Amino acid sequence: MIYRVQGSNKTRVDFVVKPNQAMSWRAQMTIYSGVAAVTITIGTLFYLKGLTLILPFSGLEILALGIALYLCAWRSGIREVISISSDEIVIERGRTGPENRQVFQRPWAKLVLERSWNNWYPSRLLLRSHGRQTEIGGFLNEQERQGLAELLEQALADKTE
Amino acid sequence: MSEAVIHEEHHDDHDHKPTGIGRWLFSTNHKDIGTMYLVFALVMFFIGGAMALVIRAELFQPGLQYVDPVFFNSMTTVHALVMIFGVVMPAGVGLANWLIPMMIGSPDMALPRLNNMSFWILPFAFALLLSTMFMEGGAPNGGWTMYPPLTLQLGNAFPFLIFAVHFLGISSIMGAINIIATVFNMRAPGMTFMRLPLFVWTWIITAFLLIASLPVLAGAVTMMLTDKFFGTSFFSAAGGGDPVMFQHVFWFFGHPEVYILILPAFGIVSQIIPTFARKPLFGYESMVYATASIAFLSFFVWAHHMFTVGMPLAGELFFMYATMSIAVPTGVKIFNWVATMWRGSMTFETPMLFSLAFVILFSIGGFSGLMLGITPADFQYHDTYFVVAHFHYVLVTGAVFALFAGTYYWLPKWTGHMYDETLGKWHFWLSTISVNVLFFPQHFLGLAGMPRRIPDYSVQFADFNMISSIGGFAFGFSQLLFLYVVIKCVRGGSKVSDQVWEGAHGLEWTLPSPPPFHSFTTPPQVTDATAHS
Repeated sequence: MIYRVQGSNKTRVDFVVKPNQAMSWRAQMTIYSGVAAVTITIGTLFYLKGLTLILPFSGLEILALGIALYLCAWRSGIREVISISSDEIVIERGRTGPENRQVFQRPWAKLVLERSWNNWYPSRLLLRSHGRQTEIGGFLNEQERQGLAELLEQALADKTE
Repeated sequence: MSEAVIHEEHHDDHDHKPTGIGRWLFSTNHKDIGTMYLVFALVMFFIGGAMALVIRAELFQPGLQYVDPVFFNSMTTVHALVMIFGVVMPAGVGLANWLIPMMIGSPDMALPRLNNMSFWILPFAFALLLSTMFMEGGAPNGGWTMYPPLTLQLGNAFPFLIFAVHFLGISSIMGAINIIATVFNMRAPGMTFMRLPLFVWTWIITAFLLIASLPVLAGAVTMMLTDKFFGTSFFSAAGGGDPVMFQHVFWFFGHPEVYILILPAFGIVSQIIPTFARKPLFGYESMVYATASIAFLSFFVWAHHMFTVGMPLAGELFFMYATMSIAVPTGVKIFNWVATMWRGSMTFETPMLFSLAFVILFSIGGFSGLMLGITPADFQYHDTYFVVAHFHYVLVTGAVFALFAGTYYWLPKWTGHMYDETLGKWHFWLSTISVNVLFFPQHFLGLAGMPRRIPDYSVQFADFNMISSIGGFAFGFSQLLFLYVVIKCVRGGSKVSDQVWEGAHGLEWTLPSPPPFHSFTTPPQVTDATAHS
């Protein structure tokens, strides 16, 4: 998902890019806790009846489900803020706040939409300058990525920013 | 001056797909993996079906005709394992893979690599299982329920059976985790839970059933393994264990497993009937709650499979009443399907015919299940052909017919071609008539006292067995027609529109037919108007 934020002085434009997340982490954890409680209770009751080898499988499975949900939530919690001002392009990434910041000189920056050689994998939107490059919107859908590329292209071409 | 260069190294078409064997081996695409699941299920359907024909050939007449009793018992055991774990479950997962991302407006499953692994475990597990047919001592022959001490007496096949069951369980768990993660995280904006298509609802509830029940099976078979090879006595009476306890543990998994097989079938039929009745599904919310109720109750009825082992009267009463109570949410569903059809502008294309047959014939299976759930009656029916007739009405005319219906319903969407409607209807009528010739007489055999899992029988059962075998062969060979219709449709046919069926609603029908390699490249906005119905 892409949001465009225009500053009042029109000298800077920000794009906030984030993946689609259908359910909050808190809601997922509430359901996960319920599932874990049921599964572990079943395993424990059998354990108390002397059938000791069910509980380890219950634990392993709940662990696997938890890891899967965490991975999905971790991937969908990322935000990218792309700020374009008259002389530089700043890309900040993070979850609760900026954890990584990269600055490119706007006059030298080059935006590239690169497709994989066999078209098997999604395209990559790259910002390059002076031998450095960074990927933008790696978590977006294909069409969203192309839309972001067009928006950035327009913003970079606009001399008022 | 900054440069904004958009490289388009290939033409502007998003429908890029890899080719060759690598596409299938390493695929992380939900449609490819769904196709592999469905093809695998079809292959296993013919393997399991061939085993069924061996059984019916042997039972055509009294006396031993073609196979020895041990091989006959292997056939009944492996036929069940193949049909449950190799046909109905993989076909359900295949449909889930194909349809859930398209129905919720997502480009793919949440964990595509896990998806690939969960499929490729299946052929490996079945190679393990089927290889036992060529081992000393033969294939497993103690029944699919694997009760000790009989199953512990197996030859070399025993550890292969246990590990095959483990791998099948791992595959199912991975599939369930993926479905939960996908539905939780990848629904399109506006696709709230109460806007999910019924098929997605039934699958997410099935996934939770798998999560809760499969560790019990994994633990049970592992304890059998340690009893056999590591000197434990979980189920060995000689060492202080209890073989009846295995039955409790097995059916604690086994009864939810029945719903794991049938709930996705409910979902398929709930998609098809509104399309061909040209009306929204009657009582959508009650359908969701009924599905959840059935799943919840399935954990409290396991002992109705083992009334005759000798349990306290209070236990028998509890499990009898709990079993009866499942008829309530199931009745809600059947009522809702009938109410959906009531005064609808119905047409009777092949998917609708199979769905109608499902509603009627599954109800017969449900009613015979109620008879079996009544404890004193079950003492007479237990381990007779009445039980065989009951679960085949549930699993063949229930689950398998729903899978046929789903295949005919979505095949034009998957391939972009319409199937041969005339041949589809031939397949339906041949299957529906023959399946009743096959299984209905088995009720009478059971009521007359013919035990199940026997290669020879008293001459008084000869006539009904002969009729049943004729039905069996007719049903088996009718499925070759299904194979032909599917292959013909995949290879070509008249082009279909995106919506395919005039009355179809839902996001999957907004995609082109066939859909692009990646389903939704932009999340669609879902409103009440564009949701399931």
